[in-house]
Order: sequence, then C-alpha cells, then structure tokens
Amino acid sequence: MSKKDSSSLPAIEVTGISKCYTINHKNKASYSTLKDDLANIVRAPLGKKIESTEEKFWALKNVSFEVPKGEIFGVIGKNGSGKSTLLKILSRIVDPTEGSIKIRGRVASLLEVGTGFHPELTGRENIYFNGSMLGMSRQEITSKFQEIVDFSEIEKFIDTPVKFYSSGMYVRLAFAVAAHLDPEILILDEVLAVGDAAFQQKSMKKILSTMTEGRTVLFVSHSMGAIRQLCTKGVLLKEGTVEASGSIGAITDRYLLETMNEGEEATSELSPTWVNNGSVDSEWFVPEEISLVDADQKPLKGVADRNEDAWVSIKGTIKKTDPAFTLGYALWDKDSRNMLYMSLATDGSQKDWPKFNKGPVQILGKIPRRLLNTGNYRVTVVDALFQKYWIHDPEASPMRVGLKVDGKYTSSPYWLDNRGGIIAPEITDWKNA
Amino acid sequence: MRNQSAVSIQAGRRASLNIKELWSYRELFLFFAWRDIKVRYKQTALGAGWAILQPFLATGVFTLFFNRVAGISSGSATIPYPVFAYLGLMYWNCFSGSLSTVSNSLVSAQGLITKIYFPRLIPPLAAVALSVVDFFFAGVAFIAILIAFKVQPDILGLLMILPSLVLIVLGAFGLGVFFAALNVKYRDVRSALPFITQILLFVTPVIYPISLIPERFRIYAYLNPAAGAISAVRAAFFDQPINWAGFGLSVLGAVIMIVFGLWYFRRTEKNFVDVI
Repeated sequence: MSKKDSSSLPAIEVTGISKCYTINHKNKASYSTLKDDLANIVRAPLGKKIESTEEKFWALKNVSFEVPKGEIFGVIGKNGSGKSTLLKILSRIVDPTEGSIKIRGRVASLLEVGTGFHPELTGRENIYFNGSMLGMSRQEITSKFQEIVDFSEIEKFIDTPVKFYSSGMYVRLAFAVAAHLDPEILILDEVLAVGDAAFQQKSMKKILSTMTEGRTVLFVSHSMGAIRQLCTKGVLLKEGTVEASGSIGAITDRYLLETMNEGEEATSELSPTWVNNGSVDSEWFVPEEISLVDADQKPLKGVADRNEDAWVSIKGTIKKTDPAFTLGYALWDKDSRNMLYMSLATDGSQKDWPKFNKGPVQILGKIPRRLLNTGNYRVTVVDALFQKYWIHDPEASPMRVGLKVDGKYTSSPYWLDNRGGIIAPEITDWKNA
Repeated sequence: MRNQSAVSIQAGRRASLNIKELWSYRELFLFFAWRDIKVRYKQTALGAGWAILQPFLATGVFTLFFNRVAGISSGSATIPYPVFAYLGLMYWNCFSGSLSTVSNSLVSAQGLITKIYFPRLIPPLAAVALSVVDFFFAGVAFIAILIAFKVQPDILGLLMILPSLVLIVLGAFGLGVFFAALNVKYRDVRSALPFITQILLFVTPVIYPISLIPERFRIYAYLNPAAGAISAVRAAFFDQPINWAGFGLSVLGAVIMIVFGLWYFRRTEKNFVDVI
C-alpha cells in the first residue's frame, strides 16, 4: 500500500448488500432445459401461460458493515441466515443483487481446501495448480514448495497421483497449500473447522499465526467456541439481515440466548432415546434411532452410573458412501450453553475407524466413566463430511437425547454426592513434594 | 499473490470484456492449459499418439469410402486423396476438438466456479490450448505422409499454416464460448453438440473440395471459418490459387462468432453460479 491515508481505511467495506434468488417451483432440476423455456415462449402468446410459481427469496437484505484493517472479524448466524451467501459474494463467486463492496488489499478466500485438485495429477502438480487457483504466483509456489511438502508430511508420495492417496493424505496436502497462503485479507469458512484431527489444528494454527502480523481475517462460522477464541469483533446475521454487530462477546451472547430460547422446552425434558419421525434425512445418512446403552448394549433409560462407561448408540442407514463421511456426538452441559467435548468416529487412527458401508449400520461411541459429574447432560449426534461440511452440526442437530448421570465420586469416603463442577474426572494423583 | 490491491464489487455493473483483469490472471490460464494437457495424456498407453492416430485412421476410412467407393476426389489429378484428406482432417479435428472442449469447459469446471473466483473466460480459453497441441502432433505425422506420397508442398503453403490455424481456432472459440455459456443453463447443449459437429463435418469442405459446392451456395459455405481456413491452406499447399475473397468471408464469419459469443458470455456470466 503506497498511499499514506489508505492505512486508516477499513479493509472491507460492505454497503447495502442484498441478494435475491428466484425459486422456480415448476422445475425439479436446478437448471432448466431448453424444452421448458421453448414451451413457455410458445404457450405464452397463446394466453395459456404455464402456471408460474416463481418466488423471490432474499438471502441477504441490506447488509452493511466494516472490517477494520488487522481485525479478525467473525460472521455468525444460524443455518440459512445468509452467512454462506455473504461469503460467496465477498469471494466474488456470486454477484450481489444490490449494494457494493470495497476490499482493500490482496484477498484469498478459502471456502474449501483442495479446490481444483485433480485425481490424475501428482501431489507436486496439484500443489502448483491449487496454489495458483488460490492466487499464488508460480514463483511464490516454487519458493514455498519445500515448506509446503514438509508441512504436509507426505514427501514420499509427492510424485504419486493423488488418486492413490488415502483421504488423510489428500486432506493434509490440501491444508498444507492453504496454510501457506500469504494474503493481506483472508476470507475463511468454518468448513475448515469440521472435525478435530491434530493435523488440521496444526494447519489452523499456521493459518492464524500469519494473521497476527497485521492481517485481516473474515471468519464465518456458527461455532461459538471458535469465534470467541479467535475474533474480537463481528456481526450476527438473522434471516439475511444484520441483527447485531460490535464486540464478539456481546453478539455471541445474543446469538446463544436466541438459540437457547428456541430450544428451551426441548432441552429441559429430553427423552433418553430419539427416533427419527422421517424429518431427518440427507444424501448420505438417514438416522433411525439414537439411544444411550451400557457395555452390554442394554438401554440405559437415560440414567448412567458415572463409574461405568456409557455408550451412545447411533443406528441408521448409509445411503451413499463417501470416504470423508463421519458420525459422532457432542456432549453438552444441561443448560445447553456449553459444549463439553465432541467425539467423532474418525478421531482415532484410521485402522480403528468403524466401517461406513452402504446399508444399515450401528455404531457405538463411548462416554468414558468417571468423567462427568452427577447431573443432567445433553448429547447431540452429528454427521459430517470431514473437512467439507457438517450435515448436522453439534449445535443445531435435531438428533439429541438427554443423559442423567448418577453415582458416587471415586472411592474416597468424603464425597458422596453433589460435587461442584461441570465435570468430575477422577484426579487422584496427590503426593508430598 | 496475484497483484490486485483493491477489489470493488458493485451490484448491477455492466458487463465488459475486462482484458486488464484477464491479463493479470495469465498465469492461471497457463496452469489451466497445462493441467488439461497433462490430464489428457495421463494413463493412456499411446499418449500423444492419439493426436496422430485419429486423423490417420479417419483418413483411411474416408479414402476407402468417399474416394474409392463414392468417387469423391481431391479435385486435382496431382493431389493424392489421402494427403488431401489428412490435411483437411488435421484442421477439422482442431476445430471440432476446440468446439467440444470449449463448450464443455464451464460445466467441467463447475467445482471450481462455485468455490473460487477467477475470470470465467479462463476455462474456455485454456480449453483451446489442448486442441492446438494436438494439431502440432498431427502436423509432425503430416510431414511423414508428404514424404510417403512424394508430394512437395509449395513454399506459400507453409506460410498459410498459421493464419489458417488462427482463423479456425478463433471460429471454434467464438462458437464454443457461446455454447459454453448456454450449456451452463441448458444441458441440452451437451447432447446436441456431437450431432452439430457431425453435421458441420459434412457441410465443411473437409472430405471433399470446396469446388464441389455449387457456386451460388459457396458464399454461405465460406462464412464457416473452417471452410475458408481449410480451403486456403490446401490451395496454398498444392500450389493452387487461394480464394482470398472466400478467406475474407471466413474471417468475417469468425469475427461475428467471436463478438456474439463473447457478448452472450459476458452478459450471462454473473448468473453462472446461480444456475450451474
């Protein structure tokens, strides 16, 4: 930036952005065929106009905000609040219907890792192509090439076509390239935060560490944990409009309050089993029943002894296999405001993962004994395409069951009941110095 | 990073060609072309041999059926039909190949277009490169054919190689870029294209000389850029007078296609992601 006064201008200026989609109820396909359009042209003049049920849908309506230089800025909101549309407009993928945006500085936008990866190309070739897609110059890629390869930890296979890679290796390489981008402004989607593999954390750390050097990040997410951890300011979107903006604490509180009020009655008396009434479905997986069982797979009827392992049983049908598909659960404090932890079926080493073959499937995920305190908890079941997106995320997933934990704390004679704390792990290592 | 220090997004901005932006993305264009070429020949036993084999086999078939059975000749006793046909097919393959890859380039790049921004003209532009590379492979084999049939080309013929290639590629790009934009909305293009290409092969003087077309229709035939390009390069090669008026008509045809194709492309471009 050569101009002196440009340093005080905001990095991103969004002014009155709206986006309108026309939903055409007539066609099932998202693209029309020539026949349909021709038929309309032919019939319309005859007065026999095809019943047109076009509906306008405003994904964003008059959204304005500014992102100061050097800020890590959060955009939050529920599914369907317009976050993704905003992200796509900022990334210049989608054109806004109204309004304007000014972005000052070189931008890189990461909506997905591995964009443009071609299975027939080798790791080396894909680094170059993907890097170029993300806005790096050839020189820049060449100078960072060794660093990217080292970071990805797949040096041995760098000249192998990526179609022979395991899904883990593939993701590693994709993240390695993304982590070495060096823009002034980074637009980052939460899809990158799906799952919690160690490598991905390393990548996020690397991406964000470069951001401390006065760079601007726009981070879109509906995970309050990540947002609170990373951002200082942000906006809250609701039904396509800006509901609140300002300090991150205030807007996340507001968001949580809203989502809580909506789910209030549901969380207070949660059933120990959840059965799909047909409303939950996806391209990959249809859940059938979620329940809590003991080690012998006998139903717990919602009450678990804290000194025994409990298991979350997920029963359903895999409709379409995908190497990135995974299931898991998140455990929440009873007031549902804080997630204690999340566990995915693919968190361990790959050989230990459960098989997700097409057809009926039942998997069990452990809730370790002597971890939770006595009291009420909530378990939400999640499914996701790892590193791509949540099918049902921990916060909004309709697959939820209640869990009551009972039982004594440890073998100590002192604690009988009602120990403080959300969790009560058995930490008994005390000794004289 | 690509050197763009400020980006301005404005709703309802008018479409423009924006050559400056295209130029700033030239490296990505090269990467696109390089990727397409790499991928094309990966895991094929013959590799670039296909670029030679295709016109070679087609020449054999055409010589047998059109020349021997149907009695179509090259229009001159001194020009062996296989040499005549191969030269035409070299250019024709470049035309039909470009037309098909350019037309499908946006739909094939769907995953990229919905995930990242780059000038949408990049995939169709890069798609042309593949056919041009194939053309040069086929050209090497043509030298062998000339030697085998003891045909000595005219020096002017060598000078016409490039202008004809440029003309045919521009024509294919102009038509292809229109189809590419249309394909985004109407997938019918995908099904119609092989049929269109087939029809075009028969109305273009590829397997027969343009003199076979009746005089009063010839003016329309020449509006097809492939017709002018192939006729001119053939005439030059085999030491016949070039019909410059016809060549000029073909250039006009190509210009019309390019202008119309780019106009339609730029006009519909901003809605690609919404409908693809």
